[in-house]
Amino acid sequence: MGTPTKKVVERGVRRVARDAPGQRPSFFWTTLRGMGVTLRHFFGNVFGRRYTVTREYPEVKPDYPPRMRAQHRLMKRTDGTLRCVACMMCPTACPAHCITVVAEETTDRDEKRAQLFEIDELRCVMCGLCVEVCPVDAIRMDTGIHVAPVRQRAEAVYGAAKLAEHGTQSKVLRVGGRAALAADPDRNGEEPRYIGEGLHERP
Amino acid sequence: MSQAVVEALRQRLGTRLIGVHSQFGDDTVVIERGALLPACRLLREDPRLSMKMLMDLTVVDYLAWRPPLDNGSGRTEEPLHSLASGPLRGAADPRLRYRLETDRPRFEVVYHLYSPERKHRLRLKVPLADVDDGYPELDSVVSVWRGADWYEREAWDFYGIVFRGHPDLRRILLYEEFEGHPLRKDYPKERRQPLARRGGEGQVMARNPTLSTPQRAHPPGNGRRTVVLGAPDHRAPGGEAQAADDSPTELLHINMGPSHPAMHGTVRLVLTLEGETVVDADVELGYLHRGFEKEAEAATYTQVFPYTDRMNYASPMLNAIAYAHAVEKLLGLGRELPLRAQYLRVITGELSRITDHLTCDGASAMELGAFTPFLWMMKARDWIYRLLEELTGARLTYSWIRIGGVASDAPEGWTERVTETLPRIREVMGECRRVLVDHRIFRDRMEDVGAISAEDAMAFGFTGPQLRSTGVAMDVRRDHPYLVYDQLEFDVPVGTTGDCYDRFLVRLEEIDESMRIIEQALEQMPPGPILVNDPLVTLPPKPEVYDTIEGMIRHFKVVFDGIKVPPGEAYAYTESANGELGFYVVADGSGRPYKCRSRGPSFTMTQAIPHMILGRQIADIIPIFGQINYIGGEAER
Repeated sequence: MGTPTKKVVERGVRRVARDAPGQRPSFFWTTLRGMGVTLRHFFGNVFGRRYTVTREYPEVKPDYPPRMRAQHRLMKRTDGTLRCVACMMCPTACPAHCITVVAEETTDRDEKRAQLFEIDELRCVMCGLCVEVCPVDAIRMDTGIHVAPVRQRAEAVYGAAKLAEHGTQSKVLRVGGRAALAADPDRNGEEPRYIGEGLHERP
Repeated sequence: MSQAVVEALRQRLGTRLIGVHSQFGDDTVVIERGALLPACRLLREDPRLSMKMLMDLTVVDYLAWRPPLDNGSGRTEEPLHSLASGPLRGAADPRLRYRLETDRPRFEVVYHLYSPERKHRLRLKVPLADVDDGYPELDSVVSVWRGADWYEREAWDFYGIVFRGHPDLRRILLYEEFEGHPLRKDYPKERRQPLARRGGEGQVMARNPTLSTPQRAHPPGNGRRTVVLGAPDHRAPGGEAQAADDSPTELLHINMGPSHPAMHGTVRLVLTLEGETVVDADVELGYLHRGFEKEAEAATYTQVFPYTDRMNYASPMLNAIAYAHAVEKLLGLGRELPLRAQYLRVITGELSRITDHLTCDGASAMELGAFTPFLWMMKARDWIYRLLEELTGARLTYSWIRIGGVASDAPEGWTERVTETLPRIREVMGECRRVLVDHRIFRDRMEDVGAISAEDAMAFGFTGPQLRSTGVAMDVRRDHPYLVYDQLEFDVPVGTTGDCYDRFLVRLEEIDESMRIIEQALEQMPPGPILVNDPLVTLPPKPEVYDTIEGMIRHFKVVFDGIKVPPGEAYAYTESANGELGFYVVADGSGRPYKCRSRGPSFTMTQAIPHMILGRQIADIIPIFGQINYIGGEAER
């Protein structure tokens, strides 16, 4: 960390090359030269599509990188309930104020859970801060699904049930959770898998 | 700051110089309001100072909070008496001390000056008291730096400061009907003012009142040619306009934009034409103003990142880097950033610079009819977007920079993919060069069009490729290296004449230089952490949050309180794709910035457009506007 040892580097000033004022190239030859390049592309594409990058969407689906942030999902515990403990971190961190959480008391080991969990996907700016701040790995944006177009704005407000549709069981640890994990019957001897620093990747 | 600067100012101003201090390396001089013009003239004209550029002008409204006068840390503004042993020994006047401590005025007008020749900077502050009726007044510095024109209009627009002697003081980013001055602290953020049209008929042209009157004469010193319009009427073009050759042509008002393919989204040029020749022009902007500063004041330091991503949308990463740079300066992190994070920022920043230049040069070519190279450049841009998406999770709105580092490390094989992509970009650029650079039609449209002298360019506040095209080798990366730019070898391409063709070529060369930088950075990048491990700044690693109560508490504190930046102010400058992108952040010790000002480089350059197009034909506007590279999100914020 800190500044590495100094080494001498050259940072010169270079004047861009251009003709003397008043000198202009000929119309004919420069146009021909440009035509040469475009014709090479033309024939290269006619016989073998060498230069095209066109994607035949939607017939051919794009391959999204694993880190792409897309529609949210809510993760589940091994017993199928939501991991969310309504700690209010994601609504606090959300710069677009698109997450609404109402907490309620519960008698199970977590004391709190979300009575209401809503994300307005139209307001969402896809920054991923909610994922980064979640302390229990309850929310992720790694579905790779685009938010579907809607007819009414209200339809874009996704509730917990809809968000949990793609939810899977997360086995990351919780506070004091090593013991809990050791006792987890679904563990099958697996080591706990921590998610990456900040970003989730699609499996 | 050299003793000479202070001494020169003190000799000229005497007791009107209120204070001198330095914070995070930003040298600051506080002067009385009456001393502004003499001080500015001295700073610009004196060869020892040679402050040829007004980089930024903004206002801070200290209604809600005052910086503590003396907390002993040297971080906040020191009162004059503590400087009694400093360079101002003779100026310690009890009268001034009293005024500073008890009667500190509400506003502070802040000027950031720069000398491209001597490479030094100065912050000039003028305290300005609020007045009960009317607006606080201050002398305009347009006569010293022409680029102050729009900055002062902006300060009037947002803070209600009247600049005496300003040639044309009207709102700039907000509409004329707007009531109030929204960046004042007593203007609630929630207040909405839908645009209500007043008047009714005849509004098409007349929203700009200065143009609806038959005569428009610019006061001298405005930098525009004085044009007296002989009673123009707004008849439709065509019609009687076809006069005989010897009789003068009827003047024609025309709106270019806001929705015009060459106006890059949303800018309106109100043109007065005599035939095909532009005789008067006015740039009207604000269609993309989104209130970045007001929003940033209500957001935590981390929550500002999504906003910065949407500023210069051709190179979002550079905006986020610039903003993080300012906050890290306030936190004193600066060089403490992990090396790997610094290299990652350099690599992604330079990739973003390439996308920006590809967009600008490509779009410029397309607007002149060369559609093919535009598509090739977009193809290359998409390869870079793909790389950035693999790294950050988004093609454009990255939210990947964090205060104190970056959000995620490069995925497996990413650096190799970058190394593979660069030669492909070089190949595309080679083809674009073959098609464009020598092409006669393209050259005829670009050469000698929109030429601006180095002196004018500096007066207008040009930076970046636009200034370098005039031959001034000013590059923040070279002159004031930040991150690890002092470890990297690169050249600064400069032009000769400052015309559109030079700007185009400088950008092409800079793409090559950026690729050189990326290759070196990839080679030098060490493994290691990507975030500082500061419990008050960064979130702890996830295993700690999941596993330990200490990690969990630290996590909660940082999220709920935000990053508590100690009180102070800092102006951090970086080289963005368009020039110097500076963020001036005032922190009050809470988790949210008290003021977060962004100096978008294309804002001040756009005001030179009338200067560049007067007397030229309407078709020349296209390359000029394209090569100024006006980016609405960055200029209007």
